[in-house]
Amino acid sequence: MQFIKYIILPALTLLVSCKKEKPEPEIPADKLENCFLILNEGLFQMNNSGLSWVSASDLSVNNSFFEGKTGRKLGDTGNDMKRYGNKIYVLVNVSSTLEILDAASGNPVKQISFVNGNQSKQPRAIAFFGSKAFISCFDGYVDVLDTAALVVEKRIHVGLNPDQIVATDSKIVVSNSGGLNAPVMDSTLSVIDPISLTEEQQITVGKNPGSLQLVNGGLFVIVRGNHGTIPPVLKKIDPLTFEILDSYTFKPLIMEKMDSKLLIAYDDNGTIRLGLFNTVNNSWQEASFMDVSGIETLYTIHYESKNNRIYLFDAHGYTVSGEILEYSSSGNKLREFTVGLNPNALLFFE
Amino acid sequence: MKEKTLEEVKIMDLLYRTVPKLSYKMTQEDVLKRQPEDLGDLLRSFPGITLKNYGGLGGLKTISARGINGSHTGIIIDGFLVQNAQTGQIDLGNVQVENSTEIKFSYAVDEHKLQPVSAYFNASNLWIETFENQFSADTLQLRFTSKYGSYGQLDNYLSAKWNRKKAYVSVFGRYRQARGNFPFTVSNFNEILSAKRYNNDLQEVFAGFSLGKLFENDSRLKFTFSHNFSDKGLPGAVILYNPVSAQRLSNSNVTSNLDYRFRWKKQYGRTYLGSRYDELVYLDSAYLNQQGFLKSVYFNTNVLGGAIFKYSWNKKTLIYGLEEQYAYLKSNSFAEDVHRYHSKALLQLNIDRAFWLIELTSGVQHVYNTDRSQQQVIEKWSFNPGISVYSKRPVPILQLLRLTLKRTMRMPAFNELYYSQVGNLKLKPEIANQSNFGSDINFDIHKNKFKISYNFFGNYIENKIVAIPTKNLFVWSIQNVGKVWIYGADLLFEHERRIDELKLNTSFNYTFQRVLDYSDPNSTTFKDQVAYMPVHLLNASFSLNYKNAGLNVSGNYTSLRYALNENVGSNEVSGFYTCDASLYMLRSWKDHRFRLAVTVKNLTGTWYEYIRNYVMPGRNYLISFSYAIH
Repeated sequence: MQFIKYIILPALTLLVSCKKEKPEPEIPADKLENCFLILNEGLFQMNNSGLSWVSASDLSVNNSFFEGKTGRKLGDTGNDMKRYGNKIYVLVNVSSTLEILDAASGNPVKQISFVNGNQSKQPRAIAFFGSKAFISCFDGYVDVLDTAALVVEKRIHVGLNPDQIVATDSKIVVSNSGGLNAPVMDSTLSVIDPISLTEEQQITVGKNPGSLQLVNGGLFVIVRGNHGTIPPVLKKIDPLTFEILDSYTFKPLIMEKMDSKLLIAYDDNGTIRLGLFNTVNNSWQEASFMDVSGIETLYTIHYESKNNRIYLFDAHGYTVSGEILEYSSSGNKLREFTVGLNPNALLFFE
Repeated sequence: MKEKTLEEVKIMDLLYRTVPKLSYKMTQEDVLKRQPEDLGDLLRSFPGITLKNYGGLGGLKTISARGINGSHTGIIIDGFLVQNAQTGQIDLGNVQVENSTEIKFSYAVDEHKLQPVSAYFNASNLWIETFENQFSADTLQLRFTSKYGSYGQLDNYLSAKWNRKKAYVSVFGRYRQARGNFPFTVSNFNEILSAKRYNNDLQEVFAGFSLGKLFENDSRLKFTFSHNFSDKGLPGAVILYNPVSAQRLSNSNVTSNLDYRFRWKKQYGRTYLGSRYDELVYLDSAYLNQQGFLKSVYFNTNVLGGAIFKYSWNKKTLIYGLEEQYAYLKSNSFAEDVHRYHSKALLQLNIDRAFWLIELTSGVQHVYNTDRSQQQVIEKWSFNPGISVYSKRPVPILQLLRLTLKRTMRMPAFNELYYSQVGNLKLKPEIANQSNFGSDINFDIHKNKFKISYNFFGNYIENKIVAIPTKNLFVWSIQNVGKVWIYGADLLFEHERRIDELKLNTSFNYTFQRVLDYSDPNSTTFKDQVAYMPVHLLNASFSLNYKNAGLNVSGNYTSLRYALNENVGSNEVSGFYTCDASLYMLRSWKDHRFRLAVTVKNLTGTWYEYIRNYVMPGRNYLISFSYAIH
């Protein structure tokens, strides 16, 4: 047995080829600065979600940032990452956890389980209002977290499979996708009062609402349809009255706020284009603002106001390492770097 | 004096053994020595077989043979193909081995047994012969096995066969259960997670009967009926920080087979008709839809009928046959019921010379697939040629040679075409092009018998059907995205020595296989080893039998794999080895035979997984008692 373990097996292991990978840089011990932090979603049931630390100077990448800080893995299917105050909040959907890190050093603060008895809450997205964090959970609730005490103090029942969430000046709005109830999906947005912590109303916007952005006094939502006979549309809603103001039928897929405009990736008869949408006159400023033809799988878009850069995330077919491409605000490509599987969120530290 | 009946095919088998067709065999005694949980557990010991085991007791088990996935392997039990057009593969965890008298994995077809036409269209076949469906001279035969093992394993099998006047009637049944709550350990970077497997229970009941009759004109008729019901928990992957598991699977299937073989002048013929009805219910009671659960029900009917003939003249043999398969699937997960008509026509010419046997095979398939409203019709034709050359007498140094070239096709399964948001009606059939060159060397030295068998193989898969994730990573889509080149070699070594009442058997096999993704030259996975394909497989077994007692030790090694096609460190799944040991005692009294065995599985307590996050049991124990009459 010892012969097998110490002689045969190592000898065979040498015969297996593995790609030569660059040695990863050391992660900073106590300060996050001049760097990016990327959330890699990973793949369902593979426990391979992670955080990549990227040097903003030379783009060296360490894909094991979370492991290096905590000594353990992030878990399965990281869905959202945001910074609020002096903390970073990372939602891990299938593991049903919320990981809280110190925003200055990246050191772990707390892990909160979102398992409710024999039911996973499946947290999806997070928004903040005052001293509270609002977390949409796929089990039909928005959980309210006190960001000082770091405990969940209330669950607010909303629609079916709440997905994305955004804070307006006075409300919390969450899109009830109903995605797990296909083909009969939900069609509503829930409006929550962040003071009384109750759902005030539900607004019908169309089948399978998803992404939400508050831009220039308007609340925009991508209504995804049924991925078949009902195409996606973009709708504009008054964030005070919640009246639907307008509807745009150019098949939007992804949107990101850039100052007073929206970067929108849309399906133009089978070709993916990235346009710049003017939210003042509610029309395309440039329908083809950036060339994305070289991007294999555009997964998400991030605009970073701190350095005025646009980041496009390429998931490369979802099963190989993802790539992030950096552009100037005028759409010129600057740099690119490879991270983990299915990157979906970025934080920049100056 | 008792009249004994020997089947003609058995005599031909003896002569045919000199033809080095590529096959690997286990007898009933081999099966008893290894005490496998099920067929999947047994097959991993064969060269070139990569097992995918989703979690031990009751877990789904499938195989790949030389890098070609299990959908290309036919499972043939007593001459009948086990069918499942819904998934395209059979869960090997559901196939009984207690009642097997012989299990053979083969890349060739033994035409002397008039196997179904489908066998000639598969890349490989797994043949199982069962005790219940064989003629015998003994008036009464009985088999009983009872096993008790770790984690609540209980397995009882009983079979009785009455033989009289060239006929038999047999009845058989099996009950199996297990709690499956084995402890496991997984690495969580610098931490170790220790827990118990939950929702991994299994209950299974299997029963049936069979009839057989030999007629005066050398013809024979057989009929088999069986019903299998199982209910099991699906623990799923181990998810860090989330132990919730609420999925269950129950399956009820009814199988009936009718087989008539006859001889007419110089022709041997066989007509056969088989049916299988499956009812599969998948339940997820923690699903987050409006109902609060997901229940998918599938009603799957498969009917297969055919005729095959063999005509020999002047050292040539012509084998020809036709087969028709009808499959029907109805489910609440599919928009409409779906039907498939799959026709196969076979023509094979064997040229039998003093030194060489040459087999020229030509097969044509036609598949017609439609939904109920005939809105979506898929029609495919496929031509499947093959040539094999075998030396019948030893060639200097290389001994007995074999060379095979073959092209086979497998139609996408119903799930791959129609399932909910996943199915893809534009899927093309997957094509497997195979080549093999090998040799068998048999020799004796001082009462030691040796066999060395080696092969070099090369396969090319076109239109490989792969499940890939979409923007919604919970919903995958099925695509023809693959081209795979496979090359490798395997080596088998066997040794047997008898010294008076002491018998020693040693067996060792090693497989080297490179299974490379050639789908897209611009992809980072180009020329990478395909997911879950190990480069190295090692199996070894040693058995010692002295008078009425014996010891069997067997070990397996599977080298490092990758969880995804990209061969990077983050995708590595560690290689592992396991070792099982079994001590057994035999007793006989007149026609009664008793066997008691104690088996330790995973002797070294290795923590391992075939599939990432689907943990396997550590060291566990099994006691089995067997009783047989004749």
